[in-house]
Amino acid sequence: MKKWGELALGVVTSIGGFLEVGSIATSAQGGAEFGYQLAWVLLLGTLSLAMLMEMTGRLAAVSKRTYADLLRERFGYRFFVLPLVAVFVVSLLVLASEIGGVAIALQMATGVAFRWWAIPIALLGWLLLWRGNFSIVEQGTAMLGLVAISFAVGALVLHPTWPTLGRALLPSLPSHDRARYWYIAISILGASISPYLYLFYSAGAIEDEWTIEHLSVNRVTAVFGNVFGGGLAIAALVTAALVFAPREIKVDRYEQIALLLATPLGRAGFVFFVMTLFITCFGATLEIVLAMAYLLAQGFGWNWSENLKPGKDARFSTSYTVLLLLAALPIVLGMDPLSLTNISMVVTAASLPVTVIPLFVLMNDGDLLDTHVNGWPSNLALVVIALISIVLLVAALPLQLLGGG
Amino acid sequence: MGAVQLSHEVIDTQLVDRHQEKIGRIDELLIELEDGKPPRVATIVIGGAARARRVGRWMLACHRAVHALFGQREEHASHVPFGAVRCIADTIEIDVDGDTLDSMHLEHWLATRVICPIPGASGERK
Amino acid sequence: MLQSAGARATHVRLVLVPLLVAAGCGSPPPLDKQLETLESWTATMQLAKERHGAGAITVTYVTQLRDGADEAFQQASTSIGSSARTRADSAYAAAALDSLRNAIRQLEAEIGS
Repeated sequence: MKKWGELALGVVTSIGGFLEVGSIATSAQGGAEFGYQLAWVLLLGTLSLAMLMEMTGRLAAVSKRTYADLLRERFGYRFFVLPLVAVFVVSLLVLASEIGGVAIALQMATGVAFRWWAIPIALLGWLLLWRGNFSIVEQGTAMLGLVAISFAVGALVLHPTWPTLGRALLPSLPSHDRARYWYIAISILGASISPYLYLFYSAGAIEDEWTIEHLSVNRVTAVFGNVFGGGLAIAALVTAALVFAPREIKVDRYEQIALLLATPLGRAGFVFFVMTLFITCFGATLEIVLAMAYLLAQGFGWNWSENLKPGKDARFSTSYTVLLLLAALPIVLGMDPLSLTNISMVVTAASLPVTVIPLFVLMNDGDLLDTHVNGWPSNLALVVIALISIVLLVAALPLQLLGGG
Repeated sequence: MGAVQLSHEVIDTQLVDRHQEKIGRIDELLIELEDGKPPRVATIVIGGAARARRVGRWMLACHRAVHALFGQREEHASHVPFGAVRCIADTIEIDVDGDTLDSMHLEHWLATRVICPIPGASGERK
Repeated sequence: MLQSAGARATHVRLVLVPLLVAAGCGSPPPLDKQLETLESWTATMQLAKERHGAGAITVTYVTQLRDGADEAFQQASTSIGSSARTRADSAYAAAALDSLRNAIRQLEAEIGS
């Protein structure tokens, strides 16, 4: 009974935690400019993330160490510096975007310019991390994030053409503006497969004291949670395809995206959009800053846990405090959240090889995982994801220049 | 009698003290060379420039520059005799009190001067 | 010290590339992109007017959309002239700017500002 409860909570947490500033923006841009056509990229990103999370969760539950721990231990400090720096730079950009997303939500609701909200948001986030334990931080915002289901409702009210959507789940080539199409595709993948997601998930497995008994919970949470969550991102794309594309509206400012739900659902849709943006971006803010603090603490062997009082893990607590304030700065200085989001998604996509490729080595290490090493299907999937990550690394900069808009 | 791979199972492994508190990782191992005696693994190095030195001279230069910025000659490092090792498993337990280690200087300084003065910081668990 | 011809050529290339990139970054977007942006904001204003009329969105929010459209209008006004090479292009540009200006005015009339 307890396990079913954990399972349900895990799935719900994953659904509510899937959407954030990057996935909302890239899905809206994709739907507005290419209709349903980029749905297959969302599906690819969602499935890739599900596999990566399942593997890092399994790694933690069986080896009793997080992915960050093992990156240091198995590959040595000299290699570890590479994913450390890459994830840090990328995550800081994404963190700033998420704070920007929360700030935009508050601006839409109150009329007060987004830059004035950045520091209060950082402080609120800090307070929750300071006082709250891991369960509160992880589950609280994710449960509230279920308000994102409003995207699914909005899409259904607009009566999408299901056969066309079904076909769009298969890879296709663009009929126009190729550079822009592939640029948005890369951004969608960057938004879906962010390293902080599986680093955080792996640390969460240790915070929740997972064991081999939790492997089924891990599998169901990672797969179903992300598939349903990814479904919400596809709903956002569909909504944009049905509201913006026929009117030839392109997303140039984040504020325009609220019209996606205000059109099918009226005032309720507008309110739900503002709530969705606030809650999902705020949840992502907490997740990302914790993931960065975890990476530092685990990599250098400091004491760490969101369940400990801050005085017991001073370097860990100081890390998330400083990072939150640092990430708020670009928004305080007035940097456009949508531009920041677009850049951070592409940079994220380009950084994937340094965290995806080492996983292949670890997931086949019998000393670490005993009989729970990858089977050939998981290895095949991981090789495909690794190859995609290399393509993204090579293509990211040229596409940013050609299709960045 | 088992064998342990130094590079695979010792270097970079998480260290815990006698109270099971995390106190860093093994950043370097020093081998003692004495005339007429076989070399032996003598010292565990925690913190300091050892980590940076393993990456390369450029990293060492950055490390020294950062510490110079804070007015320190270099980061506090701890040298623990390898004989203090009690258990080598997923973590390596050493028979020391973490609070006495130089490498924990930053942790203690932050805890006493920065973190604990803020309400809600003290205590064990949330 | 005299440089070889090859070294001089490399030196020139190293100077030219950043200049060209900077020039590329500084030049306005192509005309079709600017027209698309103007049409997009015109349509946004029309949708916002319709949604406000239906009570779906607040005046506070509509004002922010209007400000976004205004900014796009100002940016296009200054740069579209240099992108329009022919008389026909200039006519399209003028029409697109007019459409957006009218759409903004209609939205302002709708929200009573």
